[in-house]
Amino acid sequence: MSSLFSKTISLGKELKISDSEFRDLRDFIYSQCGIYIADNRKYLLENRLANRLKRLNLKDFGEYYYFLQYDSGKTQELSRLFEVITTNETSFYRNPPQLKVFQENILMNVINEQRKNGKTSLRIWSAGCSTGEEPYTLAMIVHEALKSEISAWDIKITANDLSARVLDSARKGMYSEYSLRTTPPEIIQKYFDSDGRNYKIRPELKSLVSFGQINLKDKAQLKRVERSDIVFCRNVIIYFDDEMKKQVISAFYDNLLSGGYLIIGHSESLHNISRTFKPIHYPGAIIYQKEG
Amino acid sequence: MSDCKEYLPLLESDDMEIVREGAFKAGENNCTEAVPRLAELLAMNHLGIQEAAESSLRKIGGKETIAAVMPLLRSDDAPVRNLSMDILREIGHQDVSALIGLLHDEDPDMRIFASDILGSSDNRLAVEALCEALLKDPEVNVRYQAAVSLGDLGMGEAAGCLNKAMEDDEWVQYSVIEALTKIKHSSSVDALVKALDRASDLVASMIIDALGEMGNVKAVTMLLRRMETSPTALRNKIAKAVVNILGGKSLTLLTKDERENFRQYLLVALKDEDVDIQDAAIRGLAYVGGEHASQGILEIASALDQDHDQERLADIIANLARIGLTEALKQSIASDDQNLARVAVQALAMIAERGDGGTCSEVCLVLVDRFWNLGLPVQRQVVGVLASSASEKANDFFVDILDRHDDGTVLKGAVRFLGVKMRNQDVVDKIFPLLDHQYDDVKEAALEALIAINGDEVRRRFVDMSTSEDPIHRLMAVFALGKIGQPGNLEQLKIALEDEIPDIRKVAVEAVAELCGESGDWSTHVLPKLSDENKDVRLTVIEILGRCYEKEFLPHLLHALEDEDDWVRIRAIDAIGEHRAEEGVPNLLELLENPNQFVVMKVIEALGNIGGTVAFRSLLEISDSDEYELVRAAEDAIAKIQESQEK
Repeated sequence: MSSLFSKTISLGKELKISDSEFRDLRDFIYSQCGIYIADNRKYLLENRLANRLKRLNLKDFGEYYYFLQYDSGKTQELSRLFEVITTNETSFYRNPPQLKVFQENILMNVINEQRKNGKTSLRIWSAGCSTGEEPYTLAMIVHEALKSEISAWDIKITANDLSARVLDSARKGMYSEYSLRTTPPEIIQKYFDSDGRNYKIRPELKSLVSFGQINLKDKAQLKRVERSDIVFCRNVIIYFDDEMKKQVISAFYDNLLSGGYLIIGHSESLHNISRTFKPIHYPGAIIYQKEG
Repeated sequence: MSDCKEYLPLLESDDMEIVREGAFKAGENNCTEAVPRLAELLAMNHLGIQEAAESSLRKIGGKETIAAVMPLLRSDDAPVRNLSMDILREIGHQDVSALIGLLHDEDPDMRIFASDILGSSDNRLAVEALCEALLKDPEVNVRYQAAVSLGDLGMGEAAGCLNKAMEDDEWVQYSVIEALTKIKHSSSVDALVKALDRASDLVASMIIDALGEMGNVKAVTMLLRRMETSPTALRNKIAKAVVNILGGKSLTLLTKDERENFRQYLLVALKDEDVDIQDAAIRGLAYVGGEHASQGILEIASALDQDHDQERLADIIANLARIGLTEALKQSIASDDQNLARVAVQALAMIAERGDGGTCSEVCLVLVDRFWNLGLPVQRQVVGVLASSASEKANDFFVDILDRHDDGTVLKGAVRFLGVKMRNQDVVDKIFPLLDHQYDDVKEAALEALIAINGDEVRRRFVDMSTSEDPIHRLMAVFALGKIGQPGNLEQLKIALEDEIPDIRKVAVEAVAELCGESGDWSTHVLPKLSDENKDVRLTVIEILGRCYEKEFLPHLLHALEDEDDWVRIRAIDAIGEHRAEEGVPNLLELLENPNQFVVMKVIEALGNIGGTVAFRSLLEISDSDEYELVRAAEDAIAKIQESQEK
């Protein structure tokens, strides 16, 4: 009953963030996860967090700043905060031209190189996996590429995100039709079980993906991720300032095996961030490769 | 130093990953001894190692790094040269004299590089050296770069040599003009004007832009004179420069003939492809415009994107409003082009807002007259404008909306006007049904309007509604009866305090407290709710006791410090602190042992507000604790006590 005409009860109550509260919160968020909230997004932060303050019955943003640091529920609230400041907008087969390049060129290069060296292992890291659409898509593409040969391969897709809640959802592997809006029908048919309303990822895909919480700000955590042939980090570094972008991209460089590939969002670029990767231009995508 | 010795061998490893890690660590530990090796690694053909060496050389910096990196400027490998340039741009200010020496190198490329790097040095010593290069170096590209760098430095001392360099090759003139634009020294206006007569079209165009950017009024006469004889493209640029220098308002000080001439030129400039020229023309026409100007500006607005061009559209709307009500604006609100209609309504809104004495006469008539022929998005906008700007003459129009319209946003505008603004008793019958509207925001607007209208009829209906079977109705009625604030409503509110729905009890507590200015015995009805089973109700009581604090509430606040809910305790702590209730200090001190650190922080904050010997001594003890956050909070609280004592 708490939602009972809540707007009427809140008539006239408006929460405004002061400049100093904004600076405190911005610096706190940056120190926790490396996400930098620029000055021009102050009102966005105010808007998005106002509901959290109302829900927690806090008087102002200064109290919220205290809450995040000292309250016994601070860990859960931090997760909520991360969800609020990141959009988690994603879908299966997001940006098909980029994935086509991945499937036909990058993945096949890596597989053929492994075959040439008598190896059958493949490691992919999906850093910033949100609710799981990306790593499961990669699992589908790997299935499509290896076909019946897949059982002979040792495949692991490491999927990480900052938010525990989105990871819980990813592990369940249950999606609505909206998540499948850019997915080819034959893929839906092949890799999902549907009850007419929801779509569930088939177990053979789930077993390829290993989900875990990671904070890209935490260098020690990043070092513990298994070395990868391919790193996917799409639409994540947009949240970071240049210093944090450099730090994260450098960590991906260290994680990648020689000749490995880095794939970032199609609107993102490493310009002025890193010169360590060789950009390879394909129609519809730029892929970054570590030297061999 | 021992760390440094530890990392040096890593830099010699055959394993590239170890070298990269060692290079990063050398930088993190500011290891100067590693600089020569890091410079060697910078020239290595391995991107990962180059990145680590570059990052560390930047971090270490100093004369040693500059000396080690400078030779790499001579490398045959372009990426190595570029990396070295980048590093020296960042750290070059740490040894400017070494870079100045390079300005006399035999190799012109080295002199270009040195000029470039000195441009980032932010050092006055570089100005003299770059001026010498600008005026004396035999190589044109060195002179060009020297001018660019003098512009980057942006120091007035460079104006003299840059003015002289306007005699140089056209290629050098380009960078000189850019530099002068950045420095904006008054002596440069004459040099630029003098150069104008003998300049090529391209340089003349750059000079005009520069004069506009520099904003010096003494250029205006010459620019206006030049306008008559210039081709259209150059004339448009002059128009932009003049508007930039004078600002729109000063254009009205031109003579009548000059103003008319200039207006014609600005109308032509509106059609220029360059957006900056268009915008300058719009700013100018806002003061000397008229019907044609309004039409031309609206055409530009209609081609803009509402999302991507928000800032530009906002400027355009303000300038259209400055021109005033025109036929073009009247026509545009009914345009099929919704973007154009939206712009026109926003401009009309601004005109209406600044209308004489706050009334919206002609504009409001236009909007009312055309309202029913407009598309829904524009109708929503128009209602917003009329609701805030129209006078009582619009009453019938808004009543008509309540009768005929069914859009929530439009209805909200009508309700706001008739209720909150006009307090029109005659529309009560039409507004009450909106409390059952499907959208909460419409319900909310209707409730707000009815509270504003008030009166016996409104009150009677809310009293009836307070016993409704529908909990939403009871909730709204209790809320309204509280806001209306008549002591006579207390009976209904007392019943609501016992309602089965916690939210209604909570609103009833707030409603009773609304009477706290009116009636002294409100607290006797509210205080029993401190033992309500619902924590939100108890919390609301505590918040109200804090807001309407009286000394006799203190025992209740102290009792609330033992509530099972942390938030009830926290708000009680806040209230005791805010009202500096020193008697509460012993109870607060007991809470310093609370497992919830937020509670503890709030107690420390409250002790700082209350002050006094006991609080002060306790805070001193906390400031000696091992927990950094507690110490910091205690120190802040102590500072607050000291500050209040100094006052």
